[in-house]
Amino acid sequence: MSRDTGGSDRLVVRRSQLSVLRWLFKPDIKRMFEARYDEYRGARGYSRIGRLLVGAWLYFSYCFLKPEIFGVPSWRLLKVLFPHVDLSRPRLGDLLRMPIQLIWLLLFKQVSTRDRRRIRQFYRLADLRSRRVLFRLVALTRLSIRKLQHTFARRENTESEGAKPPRESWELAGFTMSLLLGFAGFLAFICITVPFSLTAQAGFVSALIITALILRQVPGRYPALMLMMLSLIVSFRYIWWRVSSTINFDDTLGLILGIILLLAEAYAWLVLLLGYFQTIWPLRRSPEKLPDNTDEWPTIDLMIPTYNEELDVVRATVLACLGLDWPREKLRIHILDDGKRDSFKDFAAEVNVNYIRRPTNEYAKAGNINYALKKTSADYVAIFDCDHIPTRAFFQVAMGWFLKDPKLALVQTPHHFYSPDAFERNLGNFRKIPNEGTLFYGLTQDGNDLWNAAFFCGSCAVIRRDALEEIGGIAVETVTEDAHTSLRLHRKGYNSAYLRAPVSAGLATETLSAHVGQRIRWARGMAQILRLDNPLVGPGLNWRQRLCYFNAMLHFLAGIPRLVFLTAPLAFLLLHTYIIFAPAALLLLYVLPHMFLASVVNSTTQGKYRYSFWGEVYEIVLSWYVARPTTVALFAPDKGKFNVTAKGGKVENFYYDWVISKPYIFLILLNIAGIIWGGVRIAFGPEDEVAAVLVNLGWVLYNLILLCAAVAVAGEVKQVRSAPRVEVDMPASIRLPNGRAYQASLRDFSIGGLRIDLEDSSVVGDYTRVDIQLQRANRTFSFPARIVFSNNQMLGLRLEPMTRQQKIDYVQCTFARADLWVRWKRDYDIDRPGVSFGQVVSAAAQGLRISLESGPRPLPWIVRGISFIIRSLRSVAPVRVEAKAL
Amino acid sequence: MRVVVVRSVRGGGGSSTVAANLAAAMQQLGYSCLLLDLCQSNDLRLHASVDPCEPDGWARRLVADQAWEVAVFGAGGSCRVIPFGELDGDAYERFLAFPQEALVAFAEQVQAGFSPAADWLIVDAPPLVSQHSAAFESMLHAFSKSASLRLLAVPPEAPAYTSLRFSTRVRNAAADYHLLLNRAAPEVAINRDLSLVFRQEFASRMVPIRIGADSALAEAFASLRTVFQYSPDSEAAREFHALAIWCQASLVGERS
Repeated sequence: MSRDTGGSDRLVVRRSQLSVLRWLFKPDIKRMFEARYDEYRGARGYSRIGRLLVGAWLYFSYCFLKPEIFGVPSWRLLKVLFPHVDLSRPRLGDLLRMPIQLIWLLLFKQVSTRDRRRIRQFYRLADLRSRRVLFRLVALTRLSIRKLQHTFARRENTESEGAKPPRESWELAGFTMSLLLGFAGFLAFICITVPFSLTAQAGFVSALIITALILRQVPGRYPALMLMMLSLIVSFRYIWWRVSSTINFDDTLGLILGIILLLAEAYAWLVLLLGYFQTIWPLRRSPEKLPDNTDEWPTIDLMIPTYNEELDVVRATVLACLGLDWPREKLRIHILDDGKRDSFKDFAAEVNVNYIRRPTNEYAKAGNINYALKKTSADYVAIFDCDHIPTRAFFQVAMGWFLKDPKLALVQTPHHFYSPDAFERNLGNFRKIPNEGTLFYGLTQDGNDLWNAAFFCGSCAVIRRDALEEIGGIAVETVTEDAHTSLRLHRKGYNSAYLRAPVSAGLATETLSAHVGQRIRWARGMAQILRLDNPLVGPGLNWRQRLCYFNAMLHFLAGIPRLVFLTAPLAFLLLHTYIIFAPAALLLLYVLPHMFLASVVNSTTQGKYRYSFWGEVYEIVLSWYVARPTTVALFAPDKGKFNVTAKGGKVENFYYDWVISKPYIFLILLNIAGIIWGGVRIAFGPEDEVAAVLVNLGWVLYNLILLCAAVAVAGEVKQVRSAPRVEVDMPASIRLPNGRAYQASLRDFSIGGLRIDLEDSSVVGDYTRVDIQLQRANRTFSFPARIVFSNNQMLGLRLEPMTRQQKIDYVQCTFARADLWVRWKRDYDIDRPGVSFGQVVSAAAQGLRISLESGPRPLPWIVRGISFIIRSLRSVAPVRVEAKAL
Repeated sequence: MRVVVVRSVRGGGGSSTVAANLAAAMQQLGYSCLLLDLCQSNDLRLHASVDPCEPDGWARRLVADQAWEVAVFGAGGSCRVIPFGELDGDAYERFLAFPQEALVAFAEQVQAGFSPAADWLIVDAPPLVSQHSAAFESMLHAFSKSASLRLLAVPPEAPAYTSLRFSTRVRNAAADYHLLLNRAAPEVAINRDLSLVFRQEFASRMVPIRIGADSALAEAFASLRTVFQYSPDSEAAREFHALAIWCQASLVGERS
């Protein structure tokens, strides 16, 4: 109704505007003018002078110009040549804009491809060329590696023919191998410990770096391993040098700070080392086939623990579970409600699943599951957080390995999130940059799996019941019950497996504060395990598992070292102590190759899972907050309680989380002070210090960029819907009450509604009640929906009340599609460190702007002033024109 | 020239709708099509914009002992249609008594092709349950023998199912046909369930594409057009497009 009146209003206005034309032209000419006049209309409609201007231009072009100029209809010429000028509402600045554009058009040839694309093309071409040059070299390297492998394999074969008992793989090669290893070790020892002069060190590291850059071009795992070796040599050398010759014994403050920095560096070095070990050969386990006879399939208790989540969040999960591809009588679904809510009980009865409520609430989620273990009896226990929606193939993927390996106690699958987490939402890079968890679930767990050390992550996992009962249920001593439980399983000699397929999807934590809260819990829990049940000691684990667990725990202790790195250069700039006692040039020659090679290795091995420099941003955001709880937990492990991570909420308005960002603002201020003071020292300080000041300034600048990027996350972007939508592109169709069905494509869906694109949404007419048809596995399902909004290409639909089966079908057609999330993962490109650094810098700029804008009084004005000036300058700048003949 | 025979189990199964719109979809893919109507109801031509008052057709010509080639109508684009023709009482008697050889010869002539050559011949044949003279049957046989694809349009409704399931004659006749679900309406429970039953019981012979119930098809017929001309953004248009691609893909490797 309202749309109609709006349309006729506009019609009336247009008629009155152009009434004079009726007297001047024939009807079809008049119509033509009207259409052209309409095309010039800007977003805010015509102003009086605009009307005159456009009218005059149209008349002029109609009378005096030939129909087509520069390959465009001549009446459209002004629009094409001055795309940044709104002629229907000209402004004073246009008097400047148009001449500048005109001069630019006269002087420069307009090429239809954009600059950025050209740079990218150039990059690609250069990349290709360098590859071609390198190819011969690379091919030779690969050939020799292949030959080496062959001789190796032949020797192994001849050795194993002697019916020797199978031994550990690293013992296999025998005497020659150990001789070779010893020799290599000796060489490495020389590389690491021999002190070099400045030039020798320069030659050494540049040789290594060039080798690394060549190796980087070679795909495959062996080159990655060699890269790791190079990086290890440089890093070892660096640490050796740091320990042996850079400690400042002359100055007490310098000595103390220097040792603190050295310890932090040693920590980072250890994490790097263990990280290499962990990701040396990701297992990439594929699902095992289940037997054809479904009678042999085991029974499963599917548990959905919940505490304070909304029913809507749980509903989708339960409905998806009801549609899982598993024999109905062998799958028992339980809602474990710790919140003691009757609405959940009613819902469970409504959809016919089991509802378990326990009288007490001790030990949070772990206690909840342990209580349910006593009430249930199936062979396997599957645990899903209430917001993790399994796709229907979940058990088909996960259960096969259990039947193959009787000692297998745990199968973990990734936590895939279909809503943006705090980083992705506030920085606006959802599905563009791999998020924080991608590295862990894409690579780290897979690497752990090689060493039989993949651990339980609390959800989306299946555990063998008798194994779980043998260790006394889920561990309750720490706040990260998941990792602790799998540690215990491993201690009992059970195996674990990790399957990388994203067969479920959940909600990410919404706000930064919730995210930080969750990570504090994890960090505290890991520190607790380190104290209470240290994986390095105790029975049952082999050394590889010990290292994997140890690295996982060490990772969460990153808070204090990170803070040390953020403040270390300030010690020199502000306190004027030499905490690294070495000439600036030598320091650079040691530290830069170490960092460079480490990031080359990480970019090569982690390229698809984490982009360069982002890991540091993620870590910085948490560093301040995990520093204290981990330290406390290390000294007093029984303190601390389980806090539930809030999900599925909404952020009402944009706000700046001052509380979270306060420590970082403080650090930024410190760094800025450092920069200023550094500048002063360059200008007025002694000559021989300038190099050292410059090096430290570079370091401070880098820290500042990372800090600003971290602060950008604190600007919480408004989020209106509480049910997050999943963006997709799937065929669908819409059926109107008149029996007509139209092609549509599904844009996004949530549990309560969907959005579809139509070729022409006016076909819907006055109908409000429609059927939306979705396909799954070649079957079509129809769901009643009501149109809540429409524009000319899109319809927003809200689902009408449906039957239980329809609800299950809806979740099956949307969230629980087996192939849905797999496609997401493929979207990420491989890391390009330069581009990635650019992204971090732009995030930093955003962070700086946001924090200044929400800062105290004069700051926002200054920011607004500067951005106004930039904007007006940019609006005057000429714009590239997309016309063939220009 | 590849031959597709489209039939339905009972009358009103939608075989002529399927045949006409499949031809239109083929035409969209860049093929030229020849539509042949073997049903006495003579309504395939109406999909192809032939004047409803036009009585001409191949049967009428044959009965009048004239060349049937005259009764070929252009149907827009590269598509042509050969209607059955209107037969009044006397002519119908004569058609029934028409000798077998003459009908089979007609079938062979059509398939031998004429210029300009068509890529696809889509034959709309009468329903399985209807009775025909032996001569007509052998002509049908001639077409279906040389057809590279035989489609049976089945609405997921009880009558079609019972015939197909329990009538031995129909079941045997349908043995080498692919089943195409037509007028599927997932919002109707019985329709949805029977679709599932068809898929279960005839799994190996189901066409993976179904044609949904869409009144655009009926409206297109009423306005003497195909759904591609009448409402190109309707769901039915997409389904027929998919069907055409499926037909083409399932014949890849066979000689044309």
